[in-house]
Amino acid sequence: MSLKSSLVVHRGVALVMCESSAILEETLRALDSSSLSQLHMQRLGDRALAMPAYEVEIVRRALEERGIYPKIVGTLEESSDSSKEDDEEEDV
Amino acid sequence: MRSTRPERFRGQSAPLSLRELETLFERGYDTGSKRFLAAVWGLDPDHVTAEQLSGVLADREHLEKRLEGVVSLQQIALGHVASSGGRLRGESLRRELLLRGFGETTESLRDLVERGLLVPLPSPGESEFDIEKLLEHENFLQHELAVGEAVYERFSGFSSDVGPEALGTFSGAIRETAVSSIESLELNLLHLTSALSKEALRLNKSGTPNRRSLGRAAAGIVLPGQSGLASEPLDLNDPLQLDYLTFLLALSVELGLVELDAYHLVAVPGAMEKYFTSDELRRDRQLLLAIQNVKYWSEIKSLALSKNRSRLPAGEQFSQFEATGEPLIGARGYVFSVLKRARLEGWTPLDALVALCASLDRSYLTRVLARSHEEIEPEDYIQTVLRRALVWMGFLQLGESEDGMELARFHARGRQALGIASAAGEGAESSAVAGAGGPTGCMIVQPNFEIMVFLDAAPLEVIYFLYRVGVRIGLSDRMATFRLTAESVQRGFSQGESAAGVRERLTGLSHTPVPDSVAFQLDDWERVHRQLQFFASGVILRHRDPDRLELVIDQFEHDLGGEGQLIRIGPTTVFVMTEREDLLGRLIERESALVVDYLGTLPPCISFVEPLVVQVDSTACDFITLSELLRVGVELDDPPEGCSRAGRYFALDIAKIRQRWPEDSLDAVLEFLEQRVAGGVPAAQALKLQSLLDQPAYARLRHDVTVIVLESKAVADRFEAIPQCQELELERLGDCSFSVPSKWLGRLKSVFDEVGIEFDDSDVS
Repeated sequence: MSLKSSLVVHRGVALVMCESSAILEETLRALDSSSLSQLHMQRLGDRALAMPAYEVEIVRRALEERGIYPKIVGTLEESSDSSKEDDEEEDV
Repeated sequence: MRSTRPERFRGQSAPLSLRELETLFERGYDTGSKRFLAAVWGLDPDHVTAEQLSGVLADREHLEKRLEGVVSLQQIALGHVASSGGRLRGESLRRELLLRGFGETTESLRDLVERGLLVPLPSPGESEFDIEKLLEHENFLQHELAVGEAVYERFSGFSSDVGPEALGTFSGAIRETAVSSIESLELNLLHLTSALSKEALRLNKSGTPNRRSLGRAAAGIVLPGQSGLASEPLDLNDPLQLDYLTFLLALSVELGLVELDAYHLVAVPGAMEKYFTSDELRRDRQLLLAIQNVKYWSEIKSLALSKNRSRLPAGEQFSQFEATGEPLIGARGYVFSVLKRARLEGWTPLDALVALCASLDRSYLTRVLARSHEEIEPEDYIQTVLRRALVWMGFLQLGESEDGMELARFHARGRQALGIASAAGEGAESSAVAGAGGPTGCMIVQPNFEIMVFLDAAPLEVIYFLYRVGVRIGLSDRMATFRLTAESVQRGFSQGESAAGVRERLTGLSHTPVPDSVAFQLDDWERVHRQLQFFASGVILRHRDPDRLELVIDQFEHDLGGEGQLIRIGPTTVFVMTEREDLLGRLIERESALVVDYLGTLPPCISFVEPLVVQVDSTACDFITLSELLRVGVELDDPPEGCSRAGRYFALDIAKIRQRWPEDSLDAVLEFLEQRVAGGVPAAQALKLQSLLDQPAYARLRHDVTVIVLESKAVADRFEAIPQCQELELERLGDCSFSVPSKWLGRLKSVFDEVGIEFDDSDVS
């Protein structure tokens, strides 16, 4: 499809910026879980991942569960975390 | 003497002089009263005079004899009147004694009146004062009660701060039966909410915490009755333990430290920081408000639970969806308001405390309890507040005297929280202990990354800081041990701490210098931490032409004037974080930019270039579509023949589509594509997808047929119903048409003739 304008503005985006491509690979490996399969991360270049801002909290939680605590710039948007797996059954 | 009127006695803050007494008995009291008093005091009722009566009251020599049989409580009552200047309204005296924990004293005061040790004074304008009637109707408490000069002098050295311990009703050493403190409660709140900030507490559908989840969140909580030692592991089958955790959760919710998110309880970091770093007085006030208004925990059910030791009937008590405590807010508030007015010093009999709360405004308490639909007597309810809510809050301490009397007294911070008058001094003192010289030296940072913190010397905000950067690994009565780990410190960094800040803080707090190994490791953890940064929300600007993008960005950066952060991700992509929506709007307008808003409807970005091959614009396509295309297709390395190299191309993969949407794959993929293809999915592509995902569309080719087209559906319906047509092998085609094998053309015409249908067969060969 053709665009009327060449500038495209993606609004409501969160960015994960890694110091190196190796860190990005490591991060992607940490996130490689079925519980995150519904997320919409996109790799931009060697060091960055972009995603809708409402999904970043899920990614942060997933990383923290794996012992990775990124530096947060700005205020993360709350997420309903629908992708989080209920790994515990209801008490009877 | 004639000019002396009874009114002159009122409002004076002095004991009754002999002259005033004579006047009172002469003009104020009626004859019956004088006879009554004479009989009580062993005088001749028939010949008693005002001088004789007042002489008895003024007699200093025989006062001790008159005081024989006057019990300690009554002596304290006389002392209160003396310390008030010699006279006090009866109701005020009773109330004062009540608030000091002496319980109900009406009978004791009546006895003092009968003994002539307290003299009721007539109201203004009142004469012929009938003391018998006054005592009979218990109206004496509505009058001022005065003492004579002899009694006044005898009790003038009395301390008005004396409490029930002076009565001697309990004796010997007092054993504490309920050990608690606000410090312990706050440590529990901090421990629990810190755990919830790492992992939300999962709730069952009923709102009760999931056992395993609660077990993890609550490990290390100090249970009531334990002297500072963390219980590990918890026994969640014990209703008391479970109830205490419910209490902590409900209190955390009320304090705003934790909030409900669907079926999870999650910590609120901002509220935690605000609470745990505020000063003690403010926290105490917040705690008082929280327990007064607590909704998801009921003291009535809690106490019943510990009495019955049965968990089953009280399931709702543990639910974070059941506001079991809400109906009790009014009643709870009443008890607290009474206690705020109390002037309790030291140990007080628990029964006296209950009596105090039950007496002050019993009708109100009865009303609010009735509204709560709890079938409970006021005294029983007050017991639940005292024994459960106040003890678990650490406001109140329970004890037992050697002779078995149950006692209670307020902790210094409990008094501070309730705002009990004389507690201010003590509260300030207790705060000053921790504040003396600051918390310097309240901990020791060891080379093995363990920090020993002395709880008595460390303010709560210091412990909160340690929770932010460390993990508590041990707790004893007076000391907690934390460990700095890569994970915990980086978590702290993610919450705004820095290596330099942590090092500086530890240096300021530690009794010994922070070991170099710890300082070095903090820096190293920070270096690792900075390797990964999350920019919470912003915009991405993309342009196919790098030079043009550079120009646009330069202009935008200039417009922002430093009010934003720009990160160049690649030659065609820049990320911008800024609050300046106005400037962004102007940029969009100026450049006629395409806006892809992830909170709105995403613009179409897919086009079909070949059967099951789609193209997207690499800069304009949204991330959601791109992610999904990677899940349902295979990206082509080279563009299909005749297609531009500017776009990205994906071949839809049937197996991957089925994997992505295992159920209703066709509907799901069509829905996905419909929203993203301008003008919708081309019919041919939809048919192709149907044939591959569902089943191929079926077609039947027929030769040697003639098509009949009737003038309307009504005519077609009637025609079809003609019995002769049954043999013609008609096949209906829509509303008005049929096909018929050409071999039956002759018969068909016969039927037309028969039923009178005119026809044109010029097209039929």
